[in-house]
Amino acid sequence: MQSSAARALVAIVAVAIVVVGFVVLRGGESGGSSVSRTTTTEPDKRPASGGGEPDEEQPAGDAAVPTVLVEDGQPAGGVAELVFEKGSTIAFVVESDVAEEIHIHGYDIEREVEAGGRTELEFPAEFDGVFEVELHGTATQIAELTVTP
Amino acid sequence: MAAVLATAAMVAALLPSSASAHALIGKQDLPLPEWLFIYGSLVILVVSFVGLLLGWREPRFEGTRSRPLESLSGVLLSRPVGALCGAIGVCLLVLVVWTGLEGTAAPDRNFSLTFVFVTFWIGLVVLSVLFGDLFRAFSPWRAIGRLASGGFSKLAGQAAPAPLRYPDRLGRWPAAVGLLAFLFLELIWGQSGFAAAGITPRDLAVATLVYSLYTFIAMGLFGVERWNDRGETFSVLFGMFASLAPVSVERGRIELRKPLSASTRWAALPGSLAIVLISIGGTTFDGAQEGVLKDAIASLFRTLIDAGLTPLTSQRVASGLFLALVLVTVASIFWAGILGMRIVERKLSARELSQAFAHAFIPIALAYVVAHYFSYTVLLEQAQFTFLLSDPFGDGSNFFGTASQGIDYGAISANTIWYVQFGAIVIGHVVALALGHDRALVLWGNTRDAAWSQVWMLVMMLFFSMLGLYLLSQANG
Repeated sequence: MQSSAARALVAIVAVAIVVVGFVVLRGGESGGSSVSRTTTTEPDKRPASGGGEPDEEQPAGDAAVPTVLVEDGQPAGGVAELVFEKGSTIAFVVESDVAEEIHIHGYDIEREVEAGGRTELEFPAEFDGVFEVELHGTATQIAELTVTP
Repeated sequence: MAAVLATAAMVAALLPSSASAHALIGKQDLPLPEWLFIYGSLVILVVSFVGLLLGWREPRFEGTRSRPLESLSGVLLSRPVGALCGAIGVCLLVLVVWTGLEGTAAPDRNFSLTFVFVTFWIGLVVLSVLFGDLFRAFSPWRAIGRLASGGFSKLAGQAAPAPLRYPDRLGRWPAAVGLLAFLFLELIWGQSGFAAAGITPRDLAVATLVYSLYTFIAMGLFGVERWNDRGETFSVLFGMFASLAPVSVERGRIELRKPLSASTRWAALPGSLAIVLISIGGTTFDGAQEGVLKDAIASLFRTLIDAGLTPLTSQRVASGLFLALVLVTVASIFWAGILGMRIVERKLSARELSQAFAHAFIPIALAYVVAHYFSYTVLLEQAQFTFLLSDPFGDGSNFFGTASQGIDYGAISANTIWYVQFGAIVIGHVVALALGHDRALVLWGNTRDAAWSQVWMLVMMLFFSMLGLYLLSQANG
């Protein structure tokens, strides 16, 4: 590697690998992403019924709104995972057998739910990140809200 | 049976709680996407091989050349400015203790926690790298120590000699122990899982008082400047990051120098390597406990609960053991690289080699801090300068009219965060390689031997850089 021509060659090859790598890998991501996301609600989907399972296992495009079920002050079936895309509308239902206040961190939304009642939450997905949804009284996390970019 | 159910419910409530310090914030970052992780690794590999092939032949950072800034020194290093900086430091120390003891217990509404763990702990790292050793001027402990020794000299008519000579063998080890204690307090101590995961403001205030007392005693025994240079945790840690800065204070003057050049002399004291490795290990653990190690910690936690320990003790023991494990792993990787280097180089002992190359890992420690805490710091500084400043006790006051403002979670997008993290790790890796190569040229004189010895160095650095990216791609706290 003594001559400057060889040095230049190494540098050019390196830059080429870095640029091609970026294009290839980045392109691969945007092709696969729409398939891999599970719960992506469309902007104008209204909650049709509260009959959804408290989970994320619904195919994209399903009109059902995810429901988080709270039993004895704990999320039934563990902390629910809710995934939405930035710019869409976040919509989910909380059904609880105890009177509580639901708090969505980051978005700082608070909503009361009565014992045995249900409450529908709907708001625009303004910023991306992972946010906790908790019962304010006991600070129990009931759902993890993921907003993808 | 009821007790079992109650415990089960409690355990369920405990586990989902994210890491300690995140009680301060309502958001976690999205993990680094897989493609960016793979791409980051590719860039780091390419950069490494190009660096190895095209490495320069003369050391570039080892010189001590610098340019004094006479007029600026006259102003910034004057007595009134020094007194003002010290007074600001003391006021902030008092405010931390006062708000911690008297303010609200809500971690995100109390001035003390955000100030200590974000503005001070992360903010000063960034400021030190940019502007040099600022903490020396603002350290409340040093300011009080100097005032006390100055007062004593005036009264006694002579300078107060330190009663004990600081043992040279001790080097920076007291600071390393202090750093471990701080990490334990920050990441592990208060993880009770319920309302306030993380250390309480009151515990933090008590810890601050204890540390202050310890520092005053140590300064009294060994002398103010000596203890601040060697033993005082924060002076030593921020001083380490400041050694990368293009500015330093030498012989009573502010001097401009080549960035990174002071770091080449930083690791000469015993215990310096420990500081670098503990800093890397601490950030690694904080990242891993939210992702890679989450399940392992949770399972050990459950085992300890079943063994009859309280949830808080179980959490402390489980997390503490894993912190120790991470530190041992980080140290093992470093030593494996050093021992590998000895295959090429037999003249220098492993100890000499470790001391010679310790400073090359400071940029990696910095990259870890930036990558892990970037968004966290940007968001929490909004809190710091709005409601926490106007309402430091969380009691409804509004000193500056900003108490009702909050954090704008839309301030930085996930894409920005990812590219900053990626950039930090890659740049940190490049700078670390440059420092390692430079030192190898000094030790071996010719490019060929230097490059061979650096293959081992490179493996270590590749490991740390890819580990950093990997942790971010698993969970991004």
